[in-house]
Amino acid sequence: MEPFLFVDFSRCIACQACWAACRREHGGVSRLHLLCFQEAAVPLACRQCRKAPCAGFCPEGALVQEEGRGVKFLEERCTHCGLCAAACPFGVLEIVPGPVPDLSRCDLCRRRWEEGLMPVCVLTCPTRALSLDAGGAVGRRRRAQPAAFPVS
Amino acid sequence: MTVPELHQQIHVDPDRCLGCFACASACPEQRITWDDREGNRRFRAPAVCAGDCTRCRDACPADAVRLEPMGETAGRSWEPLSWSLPLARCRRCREPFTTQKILALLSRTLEATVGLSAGEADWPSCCPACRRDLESRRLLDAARWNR
Repeated sequence: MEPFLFVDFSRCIACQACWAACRREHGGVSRLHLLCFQEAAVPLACRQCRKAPCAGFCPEGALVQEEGRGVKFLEERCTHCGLCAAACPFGVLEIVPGPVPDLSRCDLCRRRWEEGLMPVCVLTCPTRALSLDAGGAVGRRRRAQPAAFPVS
Repeated sequence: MTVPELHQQIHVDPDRCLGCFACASACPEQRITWDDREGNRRFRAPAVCAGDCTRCRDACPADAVRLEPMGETAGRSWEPLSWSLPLARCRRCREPFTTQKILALLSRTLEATVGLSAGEADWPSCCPACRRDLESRRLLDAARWNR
């Protein structure tokens, strides 16, 4: 299973700390989107799709699925054409306008990861609603829970 | 009259152009510009470019840019280039978000890249903001079931 950012909505209190931490870590642009509804808030970030449409649509092969590490961005190949943003099914890969439009997408804080550190949003979340699922922990947790509703 | 060898005439084939902004992003002088207005993405570029730079041509994913070395100026057009492509509107909020050609190409390639037919993938016709909204509602619904 590819690693991804897992969100437990029942724990999220919509404090926006993850969003603020992400923005600070990544030069003023949050790669995490926070959607607020009346009953809950939903932090959305790159899903690190195994068959990633962004990677498939990139004409330069600048986005690649790296086994066990999610989708990797090879900046030196990127031509800043913006096609990846059109392909992302979840709208979480964005083009930041500018003279050279930049790509903004959660890479699970890859630089921190290489230093053995957790993504800043995971570290910051006061209610531990965010976690990095790198080894199928969500699947294990699900299987450990009894069925939440009867199957008719 | 002759101009230095290094000058080159820029040719853009609007039929090949997808309407992405790779050329505009690549130009070190930012001489290729674009804007979205009145349902179209409009591009502007100079007819002639000085220098031996080929970054716009190299960046173009559709091979729509051709650079022709200039020797003679006779019969050359110095009129700046402009071309435009129709934008696609989001099926939910009706806001334009990318070009129709990029979406058509995406629909054609999804089957080969991720194994989804055009009918199975419902997101390409939505803008990124609506894709996020739909996805978060789906997630909330799923969380409600799992509670």
